[in-house]
Amino acid sequence: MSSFLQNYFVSFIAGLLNHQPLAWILYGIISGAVILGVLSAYGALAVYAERKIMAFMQCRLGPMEVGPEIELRIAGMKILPKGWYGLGVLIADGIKLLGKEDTVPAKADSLIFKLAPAIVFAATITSFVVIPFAPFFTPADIDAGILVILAASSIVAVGIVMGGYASNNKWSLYGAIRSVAQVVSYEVPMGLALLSVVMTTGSLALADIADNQSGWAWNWHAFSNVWLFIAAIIYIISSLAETNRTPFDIPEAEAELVAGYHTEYSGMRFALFMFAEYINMLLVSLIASVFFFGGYYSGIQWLDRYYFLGPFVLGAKALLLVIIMIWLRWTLPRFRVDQLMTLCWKAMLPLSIIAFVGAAAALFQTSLVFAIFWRFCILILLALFAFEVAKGIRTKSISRKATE
Amino acid sequence: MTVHGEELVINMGPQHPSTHGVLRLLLKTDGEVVGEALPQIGYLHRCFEKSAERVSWNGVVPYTDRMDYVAAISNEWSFVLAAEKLGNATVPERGEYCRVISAELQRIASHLVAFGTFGIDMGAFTPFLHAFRDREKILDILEMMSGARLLYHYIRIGGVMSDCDSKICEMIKLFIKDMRTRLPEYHQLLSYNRIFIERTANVGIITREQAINYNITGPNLRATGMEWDLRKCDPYSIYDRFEFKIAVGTCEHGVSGDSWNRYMVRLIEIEESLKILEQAVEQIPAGPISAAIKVFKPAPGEIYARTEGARGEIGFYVISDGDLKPFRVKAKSPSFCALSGFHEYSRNLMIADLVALLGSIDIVLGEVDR
Repeated sequence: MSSFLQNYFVSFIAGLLNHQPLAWILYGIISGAVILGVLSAYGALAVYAERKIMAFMQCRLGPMEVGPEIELRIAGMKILPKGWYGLGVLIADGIKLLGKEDTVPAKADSLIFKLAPAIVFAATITSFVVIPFAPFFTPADIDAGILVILAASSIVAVGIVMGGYASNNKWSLYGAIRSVAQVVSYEVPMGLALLSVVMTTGSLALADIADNQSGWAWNWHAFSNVWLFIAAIIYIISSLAETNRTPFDIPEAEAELVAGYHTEYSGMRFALFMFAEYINMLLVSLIASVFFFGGYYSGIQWLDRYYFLGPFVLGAKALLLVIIMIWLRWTLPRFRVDQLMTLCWKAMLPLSIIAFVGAAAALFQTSLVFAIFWRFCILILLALFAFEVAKGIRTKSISRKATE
Repeated sequence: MTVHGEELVINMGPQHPSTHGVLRLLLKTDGEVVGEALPQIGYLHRCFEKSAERVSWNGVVPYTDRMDYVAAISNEWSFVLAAEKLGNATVPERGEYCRVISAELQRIASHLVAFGTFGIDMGAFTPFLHAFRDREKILDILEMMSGARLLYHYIRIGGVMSDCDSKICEMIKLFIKDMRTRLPEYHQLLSYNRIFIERTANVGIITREQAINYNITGPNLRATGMEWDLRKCDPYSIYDRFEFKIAVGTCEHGVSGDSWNRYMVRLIEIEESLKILEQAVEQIPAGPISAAIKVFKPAPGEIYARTEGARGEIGFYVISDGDLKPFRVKAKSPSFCALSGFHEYSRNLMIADLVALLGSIDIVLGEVDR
């Protein structure tokens, strides 16, 4: 299936300019600019969201109150109260990062040092071109979209190694080594989890995978059978490792490696690394949404024909996952390197193979009985999880009462 | 089969987030494994012991504050105890109660810092801010008692500086109630977190023999299962009047003397300190808070006095030649002892485990270097 909007746009410009290749280039530039613009806005807001969620969880006052002492009024209308809900920090942060001295350590490999953040950033945003944002609208509708994503996300690791190696700092080098080990390991269960979906769908194109999940929410891959449900969980856990987020943030473990591979970076180069990390969070969440949680379909069949809802539905799902990642970061401690590897090779990999084989077996059982049975299994899993959570909440309230 | 690479020597510190100050560790690493970690100290040396010979007996007290700045009151008390023993000064009943109250509050505050920073060392940031929120309340109380928030100069020779009046007692009661609801939260957030247990249990073990050989005291010794607390074993002041248990390593997870048990001993001690506080606030009698000492001039002699500080046995060996100034002051600091065997119990740990070990022995560099 080709991307409708893309073809329409290109043929429209080609008609105007009477030049097909130029139209393609123009299309690339425009869609690239749109993606970059949206991602910049997202990056800033994600940092803001991280601060706010952190502040709620840690009783911090700063991110809640620090800001200009004047109300923001536009045409007499009150837009923001005093303090601007902490939004002023965002502006101050941007100015600070731009104003900082751009230092390169004296004995660093200057070229590689400067190139590294650019590579990380570029590799991260490359993947966005193959994400389907709505039916018939993928910026670049490639048949093997998922391969592009996997390839690009591996290049991120190359950039991190370059940064860590070129810094000429032993702690940075440690961060780089850990990062490579981590990414290489976690791509295996991650790839297998994605492969289970690819096998179920029979296509590597992300738009096809999303279209396979139209209709009601139980058609979403994660809820269609128990194996893909397991694959979804494996993917989400591996994606935490892929993005270097807690509890897998060992490449930049503050307590051990100072700041890991970006210890020596300052100013905008550092900002690029951070920016790439936040964008990467969005990327893995988008992929999780497309592969497992219905993509641009809202899960309500009646809404499926309103194509314009697609980007919003997809965005909402992805942002929810991003928020969960932020939530985890401020709750959990960090794994140790060997524990991370043990978890990957001894728990996640066997589980993902089981999920893969299970998904393959499920392909042959298309009768209604099985369809209901798999969903029933998922319900039981979810109920068990809910039960555990409820138990946790209950013990907490009991302990509170007992002490009061 | 084991593979050995080339040895890489790294400096951990003095500017490193998890060395808790200006400690420098010389690591000889082979990949992630640290073959040897040699602590290099002295970055915070301020000649306390020499300075103490130049000031009056009362003037030494604020210097002792600056040794262990996270738990200043226990240092003060130890030195003042030594001076009082030399000069045969008596402390009024109410003064003793004020001392106990301030010292126990200080112990809780210090253990909260240990709890929070250990959380950061393990990668969990939230416990730190929760601990500091609760520590803030203690600092408020201590500020009302002494006027200062970190370095109090509260305990003076012959008594204390100002009274712990009924208003402060009410605040303390509120705090006790509040703190008891917090502790289960801490346990839920960090102590019994699966990842946290994996990271700390069976990691950085200090055996009882090692602990005794290196004269390690306080929570680090008690984590090995040894019931040694000067408040019970060599009671000073009025500690024999209170009912409390000596917190020892529970071995609920891991083995005795590992990082998890050292961490847990501190949290149990917070509970026990709350018990002491509760009793002290109830029992506090009326009366003067300080003996009237115009000129403190002890007879010639020498003495060693010790108290149970937040980090262990903090002692002062003091010589007097009958002057207005001490002739010689020598401090025995628990952090220094805890660090002195570091090269031995840090052998063949991973870098992340080293951080767990260092965080869980809870040293304060101001006290190591003095």
